Amino acid sequence: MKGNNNFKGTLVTGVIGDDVHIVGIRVLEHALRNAGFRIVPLGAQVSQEDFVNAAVETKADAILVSSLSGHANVLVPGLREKCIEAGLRDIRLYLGGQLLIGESKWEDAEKMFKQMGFDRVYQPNVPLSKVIEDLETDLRL
Amino acid sequence: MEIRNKRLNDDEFRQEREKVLAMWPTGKEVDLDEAVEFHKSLPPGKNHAKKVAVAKETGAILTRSDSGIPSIEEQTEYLQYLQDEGECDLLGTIIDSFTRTGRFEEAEQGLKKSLRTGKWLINGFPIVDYGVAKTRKLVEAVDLPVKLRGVAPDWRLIAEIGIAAGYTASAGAPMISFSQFCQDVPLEITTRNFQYMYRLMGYYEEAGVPILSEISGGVGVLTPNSLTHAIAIIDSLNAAEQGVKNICLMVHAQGNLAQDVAAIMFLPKLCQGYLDRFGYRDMKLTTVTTSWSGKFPDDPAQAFAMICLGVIAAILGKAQVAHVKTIQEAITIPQKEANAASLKAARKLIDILKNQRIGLDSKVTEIEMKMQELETKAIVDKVIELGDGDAVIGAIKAVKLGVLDQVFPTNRYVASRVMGVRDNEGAVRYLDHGNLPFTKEIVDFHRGKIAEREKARGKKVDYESIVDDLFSISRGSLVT
Repeated sequence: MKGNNNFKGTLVTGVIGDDVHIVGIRVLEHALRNAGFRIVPLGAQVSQEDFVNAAVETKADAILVSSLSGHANVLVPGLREKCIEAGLRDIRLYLGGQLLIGESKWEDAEKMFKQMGFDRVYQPNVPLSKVIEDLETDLRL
Repeated sequence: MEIRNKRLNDDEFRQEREKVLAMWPTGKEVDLDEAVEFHKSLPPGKNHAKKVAVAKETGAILTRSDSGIPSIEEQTEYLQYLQDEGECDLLGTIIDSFTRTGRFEEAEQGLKKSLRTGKWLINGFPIVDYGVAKTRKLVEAVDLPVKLRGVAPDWRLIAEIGIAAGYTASAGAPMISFSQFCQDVPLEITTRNFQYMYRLMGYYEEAGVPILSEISGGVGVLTPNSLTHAIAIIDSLNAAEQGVKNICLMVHAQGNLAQDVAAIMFLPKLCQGYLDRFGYRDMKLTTVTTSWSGKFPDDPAQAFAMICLGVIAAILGKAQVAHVKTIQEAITIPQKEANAASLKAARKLIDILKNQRIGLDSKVTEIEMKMQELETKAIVDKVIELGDGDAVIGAIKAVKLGVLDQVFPTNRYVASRVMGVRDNEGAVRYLDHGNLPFTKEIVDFHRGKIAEREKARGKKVDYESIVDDLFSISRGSLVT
């Protein structure tokens, strides 16, 4: 764990894409804050560069990307590479939301996003407690 | 940029107008003196501000709806249908999102392609591309007042063209556009842009043409009333300073009638108190309500019930305007038939209930009002104190400190610490008040109300409850 010792870890959060769907990530931020994490919320319409810059600035342990436009396959590739370029080789990348349009199989989608370098990929109905547990495991708390 | 609550002087306004009108070729069509004459040629029944003021005098409740269609012919037909078949009192057009974000070129391309293919490729009425002369044809083709609908950080050219074309009301205000309709525009910028719009409305007002400014303190989903009240009051002080006289305050009904009615009745009183304190005279404050703005039931019959519940709150709270959502709210952009049917249900309810004396349990409503007063004043007074008496300077500082905050904001400059949740009766309380300047009395009240729900339902109220409360109205009862 890096950053401020009073927190379990520092998490950069935001919604990628052109839309302004915000409610899900806001509830998640609230839950994570209460679970003892430091949250760096970037709001809606966040670019990959915004995520990486904020993670560098705040020495973040993980980036939590929400995507609700159904265009995640276009919006998120390259984020892992940008993190590596910025010296964030070990940062955890989480992805959740309404990722794709249409009827693609969840297992295939999950596999695709994991190959892009995401550590955890979630469906819209994931219990928030699961995300917290996963973070605690992944950040070895 | 130095921003404060000070009326723009004539030179500042003139210089800025040249730039605003040069943003798109149709800006050249705007001639203020000619536009004032055009407004004066219209019957009073087509002026939003005048019609709402009459409703306040007579105790009437006006229904309102709107739509946003790229083709001006179809937009006109749709509005005529709401007027004739939906018995609607006030109309509006929703501006497309390209135009809202200043992408007039893309709006124009989208319009052309839409008209060529017959498929709507933009999500509203591109008023800037149409310009003054063409839009006037729409205004002239209906018998009712028309309002500009939409929220965006820069509404200046839309307001210039819309009002010159005969529109007599507009939505949009600095705080809501800053916190919930953009990602990283600073409050200084949205405030300055709306000072311009308010100054423009003030110009028409002084020339004898009242223009109504609708001020909403947020999108109102699981949002405690005092937060949106405080924001609406701060924005009203901003509007009044620039010369706006007619303000319609928005209250989003959220389902608990006692709380909704208290909010509708109390917001204009609170706001009037602050306007008086700062010496803004002859202000005409009215209230508009809308039903639940979160997830609506998919089923049209259930959606009718939610529309009617919002209208009942408007009637009991004595609002002047009931904005009527549609039975297709959860499913799609509404067809005119569904829109008109929703309006007729609202109208019937108003007609039946309008002369009846109905009271809620006054003790319950009184408690809600007392708490709304304590909380709202705590926030607004702190903002004014931070600004050394200037609400605009105070608001900019307060946002940085989280003293002004928002539930579910989109903008990264908003603290986003505040969360609302329903109590055992479905009233919305602060689950987390973040850095809002609340006394122990206020905090304890909210904790106590949330504890009642925990006790009654044997389940801790936390973030899972927020998720439940966001979907409860669409799925079943108000509190699950």
